[in-house]
Amino acid sequence: MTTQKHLNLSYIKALSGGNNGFVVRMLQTFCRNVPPGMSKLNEHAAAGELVEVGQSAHKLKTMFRYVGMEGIANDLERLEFNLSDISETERSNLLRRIDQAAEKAILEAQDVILTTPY
Amino acid sequence: MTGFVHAVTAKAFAGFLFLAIVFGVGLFLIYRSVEGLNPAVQRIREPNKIVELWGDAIKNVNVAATYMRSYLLTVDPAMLEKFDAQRDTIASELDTLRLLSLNNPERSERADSLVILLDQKLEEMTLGVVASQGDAMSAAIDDAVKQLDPLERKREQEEEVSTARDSVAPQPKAEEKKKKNFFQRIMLNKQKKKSADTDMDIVQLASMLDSIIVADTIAAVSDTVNHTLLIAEQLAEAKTKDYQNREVQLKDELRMLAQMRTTDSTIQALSTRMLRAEQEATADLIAQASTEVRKSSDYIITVLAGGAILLIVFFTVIIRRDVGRSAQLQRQIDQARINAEQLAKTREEFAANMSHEIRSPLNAIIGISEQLSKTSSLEQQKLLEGLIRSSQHLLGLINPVLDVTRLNANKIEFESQPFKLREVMHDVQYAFNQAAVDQGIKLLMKVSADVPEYVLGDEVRLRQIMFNLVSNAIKFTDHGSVTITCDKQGETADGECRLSFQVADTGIGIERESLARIFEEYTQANRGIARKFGGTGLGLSITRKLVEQQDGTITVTSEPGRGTVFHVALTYPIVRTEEPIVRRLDNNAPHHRLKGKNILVCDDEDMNRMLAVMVISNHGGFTVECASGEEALEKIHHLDFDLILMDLNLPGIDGKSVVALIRADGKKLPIIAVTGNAHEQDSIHSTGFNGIIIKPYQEAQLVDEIVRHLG
Repeated sequence: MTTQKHLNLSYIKALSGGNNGFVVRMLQTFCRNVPPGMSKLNEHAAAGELVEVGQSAHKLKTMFRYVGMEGIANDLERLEFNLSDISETERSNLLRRIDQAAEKAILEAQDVILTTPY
Repeated sequence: MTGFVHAVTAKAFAGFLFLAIVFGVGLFLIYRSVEGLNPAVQRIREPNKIVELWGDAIKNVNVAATYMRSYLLTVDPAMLEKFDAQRDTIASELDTLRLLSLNNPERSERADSLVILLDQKLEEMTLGVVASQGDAMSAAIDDAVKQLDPLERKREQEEEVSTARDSVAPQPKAEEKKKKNFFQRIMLNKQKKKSADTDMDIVQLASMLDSIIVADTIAAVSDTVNHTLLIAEQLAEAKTKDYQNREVQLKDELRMLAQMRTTDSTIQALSTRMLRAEQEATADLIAQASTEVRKSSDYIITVLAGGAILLIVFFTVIIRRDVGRSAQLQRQIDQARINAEQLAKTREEFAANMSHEIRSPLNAIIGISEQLSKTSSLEQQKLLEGLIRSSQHLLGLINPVLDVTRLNANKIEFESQPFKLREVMHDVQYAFNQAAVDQGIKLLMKVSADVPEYVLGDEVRLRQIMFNLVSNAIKFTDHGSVTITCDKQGETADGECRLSFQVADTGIGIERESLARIFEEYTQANRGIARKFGGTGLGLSITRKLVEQQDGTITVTSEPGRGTVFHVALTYPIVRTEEPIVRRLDNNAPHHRLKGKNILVCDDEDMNRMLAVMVISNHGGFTVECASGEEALEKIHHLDFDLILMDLNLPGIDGKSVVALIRADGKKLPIIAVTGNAHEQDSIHSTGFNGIIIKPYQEAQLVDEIVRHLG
């Protein structure tokens, strides 16, 4: 298992009880569910559908917390609850940062999946 | 190789057998040779006949001498008879002695010498007797009598002195004298002399003559005076002769005695020489026999030793050659084994690598397929479901390959933690209840009352073993039942408990010839099984390795058409404690309160459900998942749950609405809200929830919350 730069899998590992298979399945689910979640978030944000943006951010927030990316989770929480207080520019920057982080997280998660024996 | 070893062993055995035979024959021949000494020893032990005869003859000569001396003293004829008999005996003994000595010239010469000496001694004794009787005196008296004969005749003629004449001793009978032998004659002379001594000794004869002279003087003095004087003169002359003869006789006797002493000395010396010669002959006999035996034994030993050495050399060469070939074969076998092990290792590594390489993209396929299914049409979802199922099946085939590789490499470490046996067994039953129902069979379980409450071991591996066996049993049983039993077989003094786990089914059974190979890797009872039921053929192999690496045993009995029984024996240390052992939650220890509880997990997010299911399953609970409020309501309507974990932000009907509907339906089961929003905690109780847990939660938090509401 390689060392992660963005992911912190200690939570999942603690819950897995040493079951690497569970860790891998969680990461697989992460990789599977984050991209469509991000797509929905961006789509709703682009469409100005703030409630849907909040709901999408809520779903994504928990997933990022599971993999130890508290910063992104907090960004998503801002989108969930304070979207109306955030300027357009800041929202764009926030979404871009979340996108980039999600992309890196997925790549890293895939690497973990491929290199984890179970 | 085994045959070769047997051949070498047979040769070695043959070699030793031959040697044993050679030594046996040698010992037998030596024994026979030594036995040849026995006649010689027997001969030596037997009394020497010649020495005996020799001694007897000398002894009898001495006895004869005694008789002779007795006779001389007593003049008893009986003594003379005994002397004569003794002489006959001696003659017989000497004849025998000469006969026995014929085969030995020296001995024969000695015997002849003895015969001569003894004869000489006897003759000397005889002559001594004769000499002692004084034949000279007799002759003188005879002369005197002859001189007196005319007087006798004259007195007869004159009839005046008839009485005196009649008193004169009678004349010896010539015929009788002639008939007597030498010794009888001696006796007869003796008797005659005795008679003369009695009736007419010289003094009496002189007196008689004086009477005659007086008578003659009276009758015819003138005619007879001259004649009488003549007689007197003759008598005087006879006395003188007798005296002279006695002197001569005395000298003869002395000479004879000296001669007898000389003869005795010669006999003594001869006897000494004879005894020495016989002793030397005996010694020679022993030496000769010993020499013969030694020569014979030496020859046998030499021949046999030579033969033994040849045999040893022969078999040593043969065995050495075979051992050399054996070593060469052994090296070839070792090399072949190393190659085979390397090949097997390479094969396993290849299988493991390939499995890993296949599994990773397979997981991706499954993930993408599931993702696609959420955004696809119903028709596409059905296709994707098939894709996902096939991929999962493929994953199920690949995972055992990795397991067996790790087991073969002994990379699995077995834990040693206290666990509750009955819970494991019940978990197994719970886990397969639905599968058994789906299969239309019964799943039964019997755990003996004496099974210990807690044991020390690897609970997970025991579960894996039982899962494999029960899974197989259900798979191959289409009617009847599968029975799981757990019995205590015994307990050691060290506090270890031998447990028997048995999984018996009433399924298709296994052919006898297939039983031996069902534990082999990638092996199933027959090819039809693989076609019909699928599988990699690794399940039982993994199970056996798991059992054996925990120092246990696994056996199987089966009867085609009637079912199969797998029996696993494992030994665990018993944990004796009054207090229930509860594992720390952060170690994923099962919480007994969660055991067997049915919990509905309702969350639209997969990762949330996975986490909840993972935690609940780890503690023995059963879960039913749903991703929406509608689905939750439907599940609740059809199934009984002990508790519900409800996400608040559900698509469609949200969590609070679902709970409201549930409560409205009169159901009072505990419902715990699961949310990522901490601020929901204050208001949640007013909406029908019994509790709340904030994501991401710790395992212990979730378990404690669930247990708290389970009562």
